Amino acid sequence: MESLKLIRTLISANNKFISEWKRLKRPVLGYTCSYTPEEIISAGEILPIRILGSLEPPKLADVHVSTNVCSFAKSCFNNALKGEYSSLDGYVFSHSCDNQKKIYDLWRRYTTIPKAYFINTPHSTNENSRRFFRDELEKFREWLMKSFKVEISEENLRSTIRTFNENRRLLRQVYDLRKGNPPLVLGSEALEIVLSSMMTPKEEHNKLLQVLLEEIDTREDVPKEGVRLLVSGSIMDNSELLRLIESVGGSVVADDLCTGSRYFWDLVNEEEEPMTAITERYLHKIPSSFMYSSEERFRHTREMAKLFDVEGVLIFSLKFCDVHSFDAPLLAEELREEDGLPVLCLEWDHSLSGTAQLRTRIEAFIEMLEEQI
Amino acid sequence: MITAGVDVGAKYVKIVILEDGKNVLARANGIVEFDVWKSANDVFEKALLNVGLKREQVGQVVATGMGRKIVHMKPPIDAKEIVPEVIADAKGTYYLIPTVKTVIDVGAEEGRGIKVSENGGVRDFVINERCAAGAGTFIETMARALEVGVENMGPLALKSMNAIPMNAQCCVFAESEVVSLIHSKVSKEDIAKAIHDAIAGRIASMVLRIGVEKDVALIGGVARNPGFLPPLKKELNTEILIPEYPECVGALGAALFASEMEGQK
Repeated sequence: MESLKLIRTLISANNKFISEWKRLKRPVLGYTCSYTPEEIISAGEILPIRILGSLEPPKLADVHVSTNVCSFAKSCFNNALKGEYSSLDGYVFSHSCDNQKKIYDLWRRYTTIPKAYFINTPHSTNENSRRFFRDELEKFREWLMKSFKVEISEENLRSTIRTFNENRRLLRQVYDLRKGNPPLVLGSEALEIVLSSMMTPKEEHNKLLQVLLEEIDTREDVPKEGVRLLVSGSIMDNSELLRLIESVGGSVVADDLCTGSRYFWDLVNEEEEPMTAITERYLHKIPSSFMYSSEERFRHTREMAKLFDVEGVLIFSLKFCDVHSFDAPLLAEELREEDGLPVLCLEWDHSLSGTAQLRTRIEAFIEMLEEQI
Repeated sequence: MITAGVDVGAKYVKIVILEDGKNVLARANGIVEFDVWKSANDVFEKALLNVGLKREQVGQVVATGMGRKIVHMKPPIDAKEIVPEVIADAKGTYYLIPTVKTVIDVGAEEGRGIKVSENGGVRDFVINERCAAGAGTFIETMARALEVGVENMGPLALKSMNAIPMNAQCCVFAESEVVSLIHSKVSKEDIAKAIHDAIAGRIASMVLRIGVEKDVALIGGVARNPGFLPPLKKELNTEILIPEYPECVGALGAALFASEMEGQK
């Protein structure tokens, strides 16, 4: 499928849309966390793109950080040191986990990207947090306007919200294609589609998704049926792991990932005052693991499992990820005991090394499920 | 004036016997066995025998290496002073290469980076944490997995032109990675190179923490491995000098300290 091929090329900080954006002398802002309110950035004609890592050993980052730092945070930093993000006009970190918060200091010291901002994202969702977050986002909006000399009007915010919501609805339609058996889109493809959305102006991405949704009807290489799986975890910035699962007979039909459903599942209320609506959306979106409380996220994971009729769950924790390491056993227990779902917990270190060991365990899990079904 | 330096390492004891603080009369080394003290004495005996000396004819002895305390004030070696490895390394390398500014010492269990001052002292240093993945034992373990002699690992690696990424965070994990490479029919040459590349990457990242200033010297047993130098040079993007008998440089440094002590008496 042509649209899928194109989409795959977009998962890069130097894709054709970003180059075109730069050519028009418009600013590009990198961000590290799905709690970054992209609508505010985008409403100022600034292109928000997600900072991603790579699977190569993070040799340049290893000079500055110890071995037990989150391999994803380290990999992103390594890419920055390599100059992968040298075309950015700035970057914004959000107070997500401690690793991301602390590595922000290293970014400011060791990279040459001119502008940097830190959003103090709250870690709970009560009334105090809401007021605080609203103020934080207002300050962020002012910083954007001052630093990039742009106007972020209420009107711009409203139209940006509409475009973003459209993207979210389209992405949900793509996800719906995986509800049937066999799913019409592979898990690895779905992940790539969501990742590409983070790296593309949303108007353009909406057009791409519309073409894709049309093309899918006449798809010839329909994915094979496989054991229906949900993948849960923090971040997955490439499709290698999902391809690995697919290569041993798994069919990833749903996810609970920061770079998957958690990115786009919730809409912004278009009726409300835009800044309030954005605050609400990001505060109450399907939470990441750093948010209190974990049960809220577990509820979403279990809902996804039901909605997509999965037969087993794979929970991936990134090595040295504190928050997910605490969550994984609790989530596994809920899924097993409340929903009777088999669960496999796996740890990986954001590299391709050790995939043989992962494969053995995933293979065994899938064979076990095939026997049970 | 005859003095000696004893380097009781993790895997080998290295001894240098020095005359007048400059002429090396003898070098000897031997494996550290369970009885470390006995191993050190045996090697010392061997060194003395090489030059036909008796213990009484040797003046001051200084010991270094992780097992240095075992021979401290304990006859027959009876080292009166002990010095840390990084200080002995800097001293010995500076003596051999007076222009040296950075010393990289890769032994059996430890990798070290040392910033050398104008007069051969230590300005700064860095040592690997706990895991031997960035050191010689790692190559030995991997040699066993590949069923080749450890001395053949370097030459084998030099035959490969491929770069296979390997995550050498830990010996045990890396070994299972090697096993999976073996199962996917990757050639021994390529695996050997991947192992050397991984260690060089680890050592380079570590040494870069203190900065790399020319001249750069590589010492320690792993300096004898021809497969290690090319990837290390590539990672650090610099020429690297290797002195003769690189494994004995720490012992030489200790012997030089012993000569200074003798001179002050």
